[in-house]
Amino acid sequence: MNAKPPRGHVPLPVSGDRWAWWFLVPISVWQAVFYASSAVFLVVASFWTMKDYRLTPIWTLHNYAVFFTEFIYYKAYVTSLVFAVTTVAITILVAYPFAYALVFVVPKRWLGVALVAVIAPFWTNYLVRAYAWQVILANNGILNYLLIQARLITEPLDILYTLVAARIGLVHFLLAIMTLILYTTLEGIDKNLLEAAGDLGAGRLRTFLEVILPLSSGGLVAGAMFVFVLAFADFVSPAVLGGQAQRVFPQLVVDAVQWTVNWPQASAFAVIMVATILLVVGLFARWMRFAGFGRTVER
Amino acid sequence: MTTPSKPARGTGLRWDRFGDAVLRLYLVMGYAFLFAPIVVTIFTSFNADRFVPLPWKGFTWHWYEQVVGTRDLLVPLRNSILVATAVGLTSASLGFLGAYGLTRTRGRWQDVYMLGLISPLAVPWILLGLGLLVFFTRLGIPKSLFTVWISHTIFAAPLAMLTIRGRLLTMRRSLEEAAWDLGAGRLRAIWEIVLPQAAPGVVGAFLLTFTLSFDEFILAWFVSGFDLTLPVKIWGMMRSGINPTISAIGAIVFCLSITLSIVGQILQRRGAAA
Amino acid sequence: MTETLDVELSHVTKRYGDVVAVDDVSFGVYPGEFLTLLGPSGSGKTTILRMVGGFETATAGNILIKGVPMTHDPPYRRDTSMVFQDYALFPHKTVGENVAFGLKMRGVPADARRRRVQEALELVNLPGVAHRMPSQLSGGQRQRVALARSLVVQPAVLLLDEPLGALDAQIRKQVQIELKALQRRLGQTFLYVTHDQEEAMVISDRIAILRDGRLEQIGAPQEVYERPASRFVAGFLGECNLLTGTITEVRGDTVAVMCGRLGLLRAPATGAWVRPGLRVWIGVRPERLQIGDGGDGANTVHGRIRHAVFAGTVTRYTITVEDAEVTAVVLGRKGHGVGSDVRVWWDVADTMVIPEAHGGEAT
Repeated sequence: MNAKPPRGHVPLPVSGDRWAWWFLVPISVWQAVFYASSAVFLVVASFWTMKDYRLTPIWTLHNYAVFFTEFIYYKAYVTSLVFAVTTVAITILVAYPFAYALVFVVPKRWLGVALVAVIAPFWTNYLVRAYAWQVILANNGILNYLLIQARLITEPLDILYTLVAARIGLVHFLLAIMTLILYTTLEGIDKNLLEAAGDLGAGRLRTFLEVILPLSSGGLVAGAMFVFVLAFADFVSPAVLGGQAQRVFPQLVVDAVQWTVNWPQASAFAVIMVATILLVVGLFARWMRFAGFGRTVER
Repeated sequence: MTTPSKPARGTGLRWDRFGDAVLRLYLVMGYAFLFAPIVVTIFTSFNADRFVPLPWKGFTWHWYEQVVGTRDLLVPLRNSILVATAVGLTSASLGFLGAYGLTRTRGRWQDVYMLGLISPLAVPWILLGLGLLVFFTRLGIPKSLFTVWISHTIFAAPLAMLTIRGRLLTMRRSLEEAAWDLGAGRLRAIWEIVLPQAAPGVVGAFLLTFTLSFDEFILAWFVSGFDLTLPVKIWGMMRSGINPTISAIGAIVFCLSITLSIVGQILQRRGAAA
Repeated sequence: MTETLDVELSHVTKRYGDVVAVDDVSFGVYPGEFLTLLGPSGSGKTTILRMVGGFETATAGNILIKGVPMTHDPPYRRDTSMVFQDYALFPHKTVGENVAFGLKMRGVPADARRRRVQEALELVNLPGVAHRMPSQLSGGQRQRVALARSLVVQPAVLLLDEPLGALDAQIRKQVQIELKALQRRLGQTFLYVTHDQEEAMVISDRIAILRDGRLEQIGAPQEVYERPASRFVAGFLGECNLLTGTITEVRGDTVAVMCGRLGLLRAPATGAWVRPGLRVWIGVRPERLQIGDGGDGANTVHGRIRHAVFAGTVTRYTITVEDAEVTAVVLGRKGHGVGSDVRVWWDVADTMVIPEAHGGEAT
């Protein structure tokens, strides 16, 4: 019989501020004038022709046709894809235990230092890092010197100027990024769940396989997509460490600009790269939804 | 320290300890891998032997003298600092305005609009660089530091916007409303209240975009023309073979970056405390 | 009306998409009045306050401040000032700079500013904190600084959005009295929002009760408490025993209501709307119920005690009366055991007749 007022907080809706749209004008203009138009120019240029070292509006499909007819282009494309996918796989395999150890093994008071140490390698230039890998991996480099001194090998290993060296340099670059993404995901897992699993008698390995791994799959896949884009489009590591024998697609783009001065060709390759990235990321996202990833990550 | 599982059986504890030990060893190896290039960089920058890093042939300042002593490197260094400063300032400004706009607007299109604004972050720089090269050339804009500034700001501004937006989202909306309420107009309220509140984010965004621009190679390679930035200059040096001067540059940049990061951290802390 | 209202809302509606937050609300605030908007969460009270302050724009209707239409004006053009729920003190400015902010925006010279800040801080019993930062103050002190910051600009109407919500219960009671005293002393018009009915009763000259964006009733505390215009108001302002019935007769200033098996109950005729045949609620506050002998026999029922709980100063009884259950709150310790049959009665004057359908204008 007693009427009681209903309790419970209802969030107050807040109206947008129409005036505030004006603040988006500067950055929007910048991106529209420079970013959006250069994207349009790129696509248009890929259908044009280079004549007397000048970009000329003679429309053609030739720049795309060569991709399918010339074996070297096709080969570089496949090399690039394989290179990117394997590099991402290696990065994940290396980064996961690293992030796991950061979350579960490193004491709290050292965590700040440990995390800063992960990004510390970024404090020097990517080119300089690639150069350092050259110094390490060269025939008369540090790695071979140490291995020979340790009498593990007698002849220096040929690592530099192969895709193995390029992979080492690239994994080094991607490791920090992937580790931080995985760290954020693993750190967000409810520790009570892990204790519950422990109480139920699950050992560390089973807890990992049945609780931690499924719960971190969202971050894993997101990180993999991000890292794939970087790996697929990376020019520096293959160019500095990979040498000329097995060339990747971004090298072709740079070569088309630098040596043959064929911008339409480079543009067509760029469009193909963008299409590939969109396709792979799209498939990933599709497969993720299909496999039910992401749902479990929501806490 | 968090141990994820309590041992249910007698052997469990031993295995967990073993697991911890393995993970610790792994961490050490991981950090060794991460730090290898920077250690090698610093090491070779002092090594007297030009071509062979090991064994150690004696200490020298020679490579640093090469950096400081030649206009060859000082001009690109100056160019890079100039561009990075311009990019940092532009990005922090555009980013602040954009972040303010995004946090104060509502509507169905707001999310889409934001995605559009940050989409440059998803585009590989090599492709962005090629597009800009075509764009600048078609429009007859000569390649220079000016075009590098424009190009870097394309990816730096959205990043700055996201950084500052994160800070603005933690700011209570009522603060700005209180300023309006007490008679401050829109711009006055932004100047007096919003900007001081967002300051740590703005400074952080400046430092971040400065660093990225300072380090960026491939975009600059496409659009810098004859105005070499430091990474483009380093690229040229690398093509002519082993040269410890590169290590000396790397070591200098490393020290500068550490200093900037520490300064940034201190500023952020001070901002958080206020 | 000869007197200009400080604030006047006429047919104000606010919609967010399909959600109607405020639905055709009209009322006025007299100069020097302490008017409280009272209602549960989501009743639209804060939205109304924010529309008066200029932080939200009405979808329809008009808002006048000092007789001037201000519906679409931004906050900085309105002669209102708001004390926010979280106080909204500027964290990077000192207390003095916070209080001076409004004066600075109005172009008051620095020395006059300093003097008025000083006065304002003394007014809220916080002299000597001007140089401190807001983070160095306690919650209660911050609340008073926020008050000083709004008072110092001498607004036509001071808007307060649950300003005591963050304080703990004991300080709250004391601050209510202080706030009321301050308002009286200054003759400042207050438009106050709270969801706490006790606070509203203690502090207000008039209370406007809102529900689901609609104005249910507006009146002096005693009036809304004793003559609620709806079942919601009756229940929201305090515990209330409610029985349904039908008016059978209106004679002079008394009505007779047939309440099923409880029989004929009498109540004062509280409005012109009462007429025979109307379905109504009969309401009696638990503290007005009497157990035992007495009364003139008009409103008397018999029941059995189901629960009896001693709560210090009072005892609460739950009594089954025919097919209904009523609550009685009686001063003193337990006088009747569970299961005992009792006679329950109350004065005709303490009986409330509430229209069954919504009738906001019933009083």
